[in-house]
Amino acid sequence: MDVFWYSLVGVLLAGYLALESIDFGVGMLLPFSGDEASRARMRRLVVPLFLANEVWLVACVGLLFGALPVLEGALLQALRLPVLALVCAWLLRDAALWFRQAHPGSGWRRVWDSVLPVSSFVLAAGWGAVLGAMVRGLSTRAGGHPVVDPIDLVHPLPLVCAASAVAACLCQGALFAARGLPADGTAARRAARLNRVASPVVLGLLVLVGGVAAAVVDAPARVAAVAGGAALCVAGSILLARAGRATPALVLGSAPLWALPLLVGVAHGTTVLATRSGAGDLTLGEAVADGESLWLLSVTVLPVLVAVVAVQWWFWRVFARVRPAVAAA
Amino acid sequence: MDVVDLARLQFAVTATLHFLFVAFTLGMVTVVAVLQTRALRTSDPTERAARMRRVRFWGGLYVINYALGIVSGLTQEFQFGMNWSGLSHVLGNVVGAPMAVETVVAFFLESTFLGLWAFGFGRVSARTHLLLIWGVALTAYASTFWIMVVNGFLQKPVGYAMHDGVARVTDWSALLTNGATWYALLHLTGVVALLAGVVMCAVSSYHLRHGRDLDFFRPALVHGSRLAGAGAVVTAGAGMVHLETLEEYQPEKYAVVMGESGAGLERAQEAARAAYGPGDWLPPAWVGVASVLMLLLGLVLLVLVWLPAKAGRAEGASTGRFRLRLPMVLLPMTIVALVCGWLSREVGRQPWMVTGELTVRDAIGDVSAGGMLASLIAFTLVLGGLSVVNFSLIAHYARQGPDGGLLGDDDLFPDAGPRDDSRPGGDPAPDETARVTSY
Ligand code: HDD
Ligand code: HEM
Ligand code: HEM
Repeated sequence: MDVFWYSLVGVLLAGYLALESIDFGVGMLLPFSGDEASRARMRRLVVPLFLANEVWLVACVGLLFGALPVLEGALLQALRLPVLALVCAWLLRDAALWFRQAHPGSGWRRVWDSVLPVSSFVLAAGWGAVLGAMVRGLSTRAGGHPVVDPIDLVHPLPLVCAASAVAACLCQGALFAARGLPADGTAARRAARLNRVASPVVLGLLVLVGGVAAAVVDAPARVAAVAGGAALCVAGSILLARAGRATPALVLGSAPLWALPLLVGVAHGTTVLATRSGAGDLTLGEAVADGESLWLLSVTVLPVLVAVVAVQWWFWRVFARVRPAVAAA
Repeated sequence: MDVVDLARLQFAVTATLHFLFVAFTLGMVTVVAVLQTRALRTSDPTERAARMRRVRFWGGLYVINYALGIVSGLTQEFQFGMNWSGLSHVLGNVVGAPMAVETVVAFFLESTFLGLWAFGFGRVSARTHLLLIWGVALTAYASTFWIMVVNGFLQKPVGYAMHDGVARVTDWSALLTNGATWYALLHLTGVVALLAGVVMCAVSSYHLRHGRDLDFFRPALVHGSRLAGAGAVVTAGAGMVHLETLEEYQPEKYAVVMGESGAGLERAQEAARAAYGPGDWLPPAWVGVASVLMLLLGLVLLVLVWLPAKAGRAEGASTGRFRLRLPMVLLPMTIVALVCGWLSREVGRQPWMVTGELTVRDAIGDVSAGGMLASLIAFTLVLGGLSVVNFSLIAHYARQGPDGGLLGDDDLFPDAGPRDDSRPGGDPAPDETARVTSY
């Protein structure tokens, strides 16, 4: 049962990363989309969606607090500075999407047009680096507490994880733009070309992630298998995109993102907060809430999660429709 | 300032900002839901269009505000882990689950509903669109309930037992029926109605003073004033009852809040020492000032918020000059009372994190003063900056009047479609395909 709650937290994080890969990608691509009209159109593609996407992380942290309270405290404290940067980037990203069009001034738009790509990049790279550092295992502070040192974030593993996350988000953003913009426009053509060029790069980076991770963790076979599986998904995504089937291509293309939490899981099993030295490790048994609390969560949270997934499905159907011109092509 | 003071200051700044947005969100969503229900109750297309115009205007202000409600809520959620890991170590079993229920049950659903509503004008059927705004309202109140369960527990811990320094819940029903939660909730329900009503008055009277959109803003002024009046009655009534019960479960707070001095305070201090051992168990004396200010403002508001209504009914606007200026004073008074209320509740809990169980000092995580200062500065700058942007935008759209409203702005709400208020929510227009391709 404990494993169930831990996995559910992981699934919510994976869902967040997979869905937001599109928003991060579109955000990063905004400066390259040409004139004001195309930038406004790019933003429109994700504006109705990002709110429903980001709440997956809200739910993830909430459930973490409810089901694994000790892990929540230890983890957020160990990752305090990167989390601070990520939360600030998140707030600014949201503001840029909400507020860009709320005022007619061109200076006003210029400000948000630079905030959006920078914050989207920080989010994509930051999540990649933080999760990469967790796959490798954290450092240990003097008192035996786990902590992520700035130096932990520039080790090759977090770096390739960050690079593959950014590249994968760019691919997703480009594919989503190509799918949603008028098919005959230059913007859509350019986005489709970017997706074609960048997808093989993602594939290469995933192979690197698998190789580096296998070299530094205790479970090389399992991490290599996850990275390999993600690479297969990306290969599938490339083929589907070539065949003009953008929606399933997007689903498979999110693999490099959801693979990151999965890598943390398979690398350390039930050691939910792992350090390289082993001092300060936290096991699932120590971290999980007691039965009364889990009972409350089972009767309230589980049914609602099912309902939310259904409502979100509806949401995507209403707001992420392919433009008819593209559907016909 | 040591690390504890910095963490407290950070919490105070972010929570107060969060609550300012949240209070307006809660009040306004109710107003919008009622307005939209009224719009759907009529089948006369012109009347329906007129009523939907109100939904778009107030809903537009609500939606701008909602953005900052979310953004500031995110900092709240993360700082529990970042700064107060002692809380999750000792009390994770108790406060973690309600907080999880809040985020999943309430926000996860709420934000999804809100997105569907805000972007769904003209996209989903009128009936579904109405259900969506009621869904948003219900989940917003549900989230308030769950967060107040946690806050009530901090004030008056019930239904738990300590094992090896870790708290475990023994009785959920005691937690869910905690008086410290329910009196505060009732009080807050009044507060949010009061705030929404006063904001409606302030915006309406601005336009009436300038002689614009009289037909739109006269009834709004009357409704706002009455809503504020009803809110003030509930606020004061619930507050009085609340005050009575405080004496029983937080006697030290009660003594300070009631402005006792000398012997009275000494007696409270002695009683606390008998219970908890040697030490200073009284909250800082200035909390008394905040409480008295809230009380006084509450009584003044109880009388004054009814007055603007009359100017909304008067035909000659000149007779109502005073009444039309009054809301500009009532609004800051309400906001000050609201902040003072939280100061007295939360600072009045000092030095406890959880009354009688865990002190604030023991709840802090193992964080360096530099790290704490960094997060305090970062959050204050980002949230403060965004709040300024947000308040200016609300003021901007409020001044624009009914047709400048955000929900009428096709640009911000790309899928809202061209304005056609005879179809609230509206079944997709026959020419929809044509419209969609024109992007
Ligand atoms: C009395 C009501 C109330 C109180 C005391 C709090 N909140 Fe809040 N919060 C709300 C009422 C609310 C709300 C009205 O439900 C909001 C505003 C906008 C929204 O989306 O929900 C919200 C938003 C909001 C969000 C964003 C959710 C989203 O993405 O949709 C989070 C994560 C939190 N809050 C978390 C907290 C935490 C950790 C609090 C503890 C101090 C807290 N809130 C106090
Ligand atoms: C949104 C409404 C709230 C407001 C406006 C608010 C306000 C405040 C203020 C002003 C302080 C500073 C007290 C001091 O430093 O002496 C504070 C502290 C704190 N409050 Fe609240 N509070 C709110 C809700 C909550 C809730 C729901 C919780 C718990 C779930 C909570 C937990 C805390 C904690 C952990 C601190 C820091 C420790 C302390 O100083 O006691 N607050 N809050
Ligand atoms: C005659 C009027 C009022 C009375 C008797 C009253 C009484 C109280 C009491 C007893 C508390 C609880 C303190 C605690 O639990 O430690 C409280 C809290 C609070 N008050 Fe008031 N109050 C009044 C007016 C107002 C007004 C006008 C506002 C705002 C517009 C307001 C906003 C708050 C808030 C936000 C809180 C903190 C949350 C809560 O405990 O509900 N109050 N008030």
